[in-house]
Amino acid sequence: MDIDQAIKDGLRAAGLVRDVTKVLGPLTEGLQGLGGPLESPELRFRVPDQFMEYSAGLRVSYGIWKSEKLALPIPMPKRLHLYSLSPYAPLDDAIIMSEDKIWLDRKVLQSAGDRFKVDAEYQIDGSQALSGLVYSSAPMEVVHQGEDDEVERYWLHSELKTTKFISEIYKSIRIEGTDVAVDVTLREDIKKALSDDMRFEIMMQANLSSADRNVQAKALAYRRVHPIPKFRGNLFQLTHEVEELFQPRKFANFLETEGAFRDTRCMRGPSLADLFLPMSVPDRMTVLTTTDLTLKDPAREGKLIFKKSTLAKRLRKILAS
Amino acid sequence: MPGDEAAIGIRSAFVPEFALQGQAFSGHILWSRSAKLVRLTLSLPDGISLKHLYNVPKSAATTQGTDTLEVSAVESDGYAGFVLESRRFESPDVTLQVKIQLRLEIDGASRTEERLFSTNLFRPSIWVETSDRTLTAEFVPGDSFLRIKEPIHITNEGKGTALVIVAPKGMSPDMVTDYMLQDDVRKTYMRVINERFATLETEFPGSESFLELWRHLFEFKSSRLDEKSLSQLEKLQESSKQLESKSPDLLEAIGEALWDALLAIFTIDQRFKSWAETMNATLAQSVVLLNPSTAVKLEAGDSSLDFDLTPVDLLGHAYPVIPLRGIKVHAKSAGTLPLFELLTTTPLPTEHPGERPRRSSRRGSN
Repeated sequence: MDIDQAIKDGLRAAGLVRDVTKVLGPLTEGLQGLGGPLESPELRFRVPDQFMEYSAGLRVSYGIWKSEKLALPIPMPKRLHLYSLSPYAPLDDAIIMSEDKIWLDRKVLQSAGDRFKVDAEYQIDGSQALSGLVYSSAPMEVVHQGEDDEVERYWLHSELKTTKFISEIYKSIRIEGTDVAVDVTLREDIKKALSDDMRFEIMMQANLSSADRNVQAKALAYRRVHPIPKFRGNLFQLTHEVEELFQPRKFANFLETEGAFRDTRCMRGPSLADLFLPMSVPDRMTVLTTTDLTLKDPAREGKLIFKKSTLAKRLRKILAS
Repeated sequence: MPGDEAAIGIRSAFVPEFALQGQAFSGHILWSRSAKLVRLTLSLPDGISLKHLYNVPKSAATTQGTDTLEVSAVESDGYAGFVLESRRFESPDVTLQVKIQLRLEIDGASRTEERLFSTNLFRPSIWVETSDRTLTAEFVPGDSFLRIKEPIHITNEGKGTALVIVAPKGMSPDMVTDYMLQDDVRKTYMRVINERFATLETEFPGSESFLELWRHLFEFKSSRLDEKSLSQLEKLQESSKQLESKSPDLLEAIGEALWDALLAIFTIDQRFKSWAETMNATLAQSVVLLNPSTAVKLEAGDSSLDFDLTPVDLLGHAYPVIPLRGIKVHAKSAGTLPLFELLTTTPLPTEHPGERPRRSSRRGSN
C-alpha cells in the first residue's frame, strides 16, 4: 500500500480548485458588486462536457449606476441569463453582450424590480478541472443471472476528491453526468418474438431481390401463386417502432434510480457490435445520472435500475402486432 | 447540525457489491461530524489495493503490513473517500471482503463500529475446444462462401463479456481477405454510407471530423483489427459522448444511416443473415467476435491453419493469446471461409464420445 501515491489524486484536485475559483471568485465579486450578498448560490458541474453552471439570487441597487448602462465585471460566460422574480420571467433584453464586455440595461431591469435570479454558464477549458474534483464510478457490466431477471441493478458512486473547495465557497455542488453503459443486448428476445410469418416475409423480401437468379426466380414464382403475403403487417413500420424504443427520451421509461442519484439522461452508444453489425438495436445505452455532493454528504451512492424485462415485453408486443 | 446526529457513528459506508476484475471502484465512509475521529481502519484482502485516498492528510495515514490502512485524522470532519482497484485473478469469479472499522469519541465516550463488505469480482474466461477432428468446409446452395458444419466450440465460462479477436497466423497476405470488402456487397454498403453521411454533413455543421472517424472505421480492413483500431474505437466512443450533448440527434441519424446501409445489402445477399445469426448467438453467450468478416481463401482439399485468438474484456484489457494450431480443414471446393464460420458458441455436443473435445488450459490470469 503506497500512501504517497494514494493521496496524490486528492492533492491534484486541491490544485484544480484554483482553475474553478479563477472563474468563481471574480464572478461572485462582480455579482455582489451590483447590490449586496448573493442568495442561495448553486453550482452545477456537468462533468462530461466540462460545463459549470452557476445560479444565485441577486439584488441590484440602482443608486450606484452612473448611466443607463452598467458594465458587469465578471469573467465572460458562455451563456448568461437574468430572470425577474415576480412574475418569474426571462429578462434577456437586459443583457447586452459585446465581444469582451457585458452590459446591463437599467430601463429593462428597473421595471422588473431589484431582485433577480442569475444563471451563468462557463466551460472550464484546458484542464480536466471538473472531472478532476470528483471521482465517480459505476460497474463496467452487471452480472447476468439468467433470463428471468426482471431488472438489472447498476451501483453508482460519486465522491469529492477534496472538500476544501466546497467548504470555502459553496455548500452544495450538483454533479451531473455520472455515466453508466447499460447493457441492452436484447437480440435474443427479438429473435424469439419474431413470428414465423414475419420471418418468412423477411426471407421472401431478401430472396426477391437476391443476386442469385435461381433464388430470385423461385421467389417470384412463389409470389405469383401466393400473391398475398403471409405477414400482413408493415415490416418497415415495425422496424421503426422497435428503433423508437431506443431513442433516448423513450428509453428513459425503462430506467429508474434509487438512492442519491436521479435525472437519468441517456444516449445511444455506438457499441462495438454496432460498428461491425449495424443493427438498428444498440447493445449498449449510455445513461448519465445526477447527484448532489455537499459538505455534509461529500460522497453518495445510489442505484440505476434497468427494467430489462419491461423493455423486452414492449419489444415482443410490437413484434407480435 | 441536527441534534440527533451526535448519537450516531457511521452515517453511511459504501463498497460496491460487484465489479469487473481489474476495474477501479470507489467507496466511502461518512460519520457524525460532531464526533472526534480516533482511528479509521481499512482492511483489504489480497488482490484489492488502495488506489486513491481522499480527504486524508498524508501525516495522518499509516499502513499496517500490506493490507491495512490506518487513518488518525481527516481534513474536513466526518468523511474519508477511497478508490480501490482489483487485480485479475486466476479464478474468473471471486468474492472478497473489505472491512472498515471506525473508532470515534462521542461526548467523551469512545465507540467502535465495523462494516463488512463482500465484493464479487468477475471477468471473462474463454475456453476453446482443441480437438484433432477435421472440420469440413463446403458450399451450401445459395451461399457465396464456405460454411463449416461443426465449427470449433468456444465458450465464455466467466461472467464478464469477452471481445475476441481472431488473427490468422503465418498465412500469406493473399490468402487472408476481408469478406466484407468483397465485390458488390462492400461497394453497396459504402455507397449508402457515403450518400447518407454527405447529407449528414450538411445537416450537422461541424460534424465532419466525427463522421470522418466513422467512415474511416468502415473502410478499415477488419482483418487488420488490432490495437490501433481498438484505440480508434475508443476515440470514437469518447467523441460520441462529447457530441451527444451538442447534437443528440446526430448519433441517431448515424444509426439510421447504418441501418439503411445494412438493409441495402440485406436485400442483395443473404450472406449477412448468417453473419447476423452467428453474431446474435455469440452475443447471447457474452462473446463478441471483433473481426468476424476476416476470411481465409481455401483451395479444395486439406489445409492446416493456425490462428491466434485474443480475448479482451470491456476494460480493454487483453488476456493472453490462445493459440489455435494445426486446425485441419477439408474444403470440398475452393472458396472463401469467413472466420465467423469457424467458431460457434453453441453447447458442446455430447453424443460423440470418440470426439470428446479437449479444452485449452485455463487462460486469462495475469
